[in-house]
Amino acid sequence: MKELVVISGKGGTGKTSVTGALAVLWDHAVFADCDVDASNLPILLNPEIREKLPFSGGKKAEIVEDDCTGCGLCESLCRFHAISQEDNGIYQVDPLACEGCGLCFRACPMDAIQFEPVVNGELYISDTAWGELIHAELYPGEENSGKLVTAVRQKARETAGAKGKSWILTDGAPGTGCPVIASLTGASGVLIVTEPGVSAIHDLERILELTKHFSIPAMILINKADISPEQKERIRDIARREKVTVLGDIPYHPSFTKSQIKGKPVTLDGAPELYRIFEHLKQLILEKLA
Amino acid sequence: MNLAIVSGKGGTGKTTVAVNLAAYMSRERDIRLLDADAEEPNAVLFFQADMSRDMAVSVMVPEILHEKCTRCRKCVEMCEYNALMMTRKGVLLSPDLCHSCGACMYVCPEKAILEKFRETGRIREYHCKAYPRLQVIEGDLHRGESRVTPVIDDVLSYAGPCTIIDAPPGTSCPVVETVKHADRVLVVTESTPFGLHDLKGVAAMLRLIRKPFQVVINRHGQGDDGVENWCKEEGIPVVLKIPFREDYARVIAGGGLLIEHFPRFREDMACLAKDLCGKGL
Repeated sequence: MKELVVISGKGGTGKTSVTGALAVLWDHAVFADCDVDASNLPILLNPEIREKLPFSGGKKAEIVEDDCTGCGLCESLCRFHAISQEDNGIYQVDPLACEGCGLCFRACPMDAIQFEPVVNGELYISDTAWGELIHAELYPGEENSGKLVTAVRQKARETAGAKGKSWILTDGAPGTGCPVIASLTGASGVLIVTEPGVSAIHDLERILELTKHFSIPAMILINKADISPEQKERIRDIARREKVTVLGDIPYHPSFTKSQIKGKPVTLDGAPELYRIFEHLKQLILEKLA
Repeated sequence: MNLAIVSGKGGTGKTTVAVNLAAYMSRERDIRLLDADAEEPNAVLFFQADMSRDMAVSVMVPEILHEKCTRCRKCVEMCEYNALMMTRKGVLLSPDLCHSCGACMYVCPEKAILEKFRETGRIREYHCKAYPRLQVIEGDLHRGESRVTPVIDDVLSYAGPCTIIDAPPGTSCPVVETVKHADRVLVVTESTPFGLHDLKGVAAMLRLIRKPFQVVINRHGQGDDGVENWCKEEGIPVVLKIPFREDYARVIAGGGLLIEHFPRFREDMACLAKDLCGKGL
């Protein structure tokens, strides 16, 4: 079983549009959307949710008002400033600030603190016209530990195993921190979607440090390639320096947005020239990861 | 004033609005632009800037005094993040999993745990040649580190009387941290189905922490009316629509400021600044 993870470092370079476009062309695959903060692949693949699973990223503390004597020990120990005193002298925990370390629960002399797992997101197993899609939603304001990302990929592997699929195609998380690290560890290869602009290139360099750090074969795809010839040249220089293959260019094309508005991947009913580009891209990736 | 500029997903134009608005407003007042997108700080790329300070961001991590440790495992059992493991050589720390909560030190009956500093990022301060009254302060999380919140907290401590914050993208914990202290919030979105979906996510988060906000629509005219219609239904004010223009995209790609090239955009920033300042900023 092989897994290709599509990442970008910077949002807005077209990671999800590219993943959706490839999904239509990819045979024997399960799809995964690791952007649990802003999951957009379902908008293109129109999944039918088959199974919903609650996700718990950890525990949170809650003070039982009737048992609290207002001694304030918990507040002085909490390093996340999650505990504050109410007007009535009783302390309470701000669930958005609580990082679930359990110190207050352990220290409370009155045993007035409960410390239980909380549900802070949902994981979905869905059917699409091209294969199963595993996606998730983190509840707003929750800690975006890579745990939910890891759960999505784990479920994708299980599903691919159970269905005898040989590929997992993953829309990675944005950024260069914990969620993206969770999206790419152990992948067969990553496709970095970048664009010729100073911000995207800055992030490309950072993401290449990560792929090097984890020794994952990386390939670069330049989206909106005609926006700036000199910036495009910079991408090619970086690729040469880092010995990473640039698989190709995708021109800026209004067809991407038009297809998105229809809720379809661009290879399904977009411009024929884009279909050809993605078909060629798929062949190149398959050769690279053979 | 303390204005946070946020977006549900990256790439909507958050940094574009932040850098142009900060540069524009700094012509009349001292402005601090805080780049809190510490996984990928890009604001300073849009200025000819000189770094004036470069400081470490450190977190506290446990240091095990092996000669005092009796291997009772209490610290290992206490750690909710699996950052401590019992090995043949004693207790071993995986520093990148540690949340610096201090629980292990608290439960150690032998006082065998101290704390030491560990650097996880940098804070850099820049002065911009063309905008003498603008200071840019960025947080930069070291690659391979997973906890961005301490770096963001450090950046936010540099807030001044007139501050614009370029927030991290998304709706999770780091974003909450960023907007908590803001007195005004602008959400930058695109008028596409992706943009609307992510705007709804951010709106849910902002309502949860009871922060009123306004919307800026970027690349207006490229997508559909979904965002505008939704804002109308929800009674959310749209304070600015930035049109989709290829010449804008080119200047941004090259790291330029739109206010220096397009009078119309300068006018847009003037209106936005007036709108912000007209409301007691």
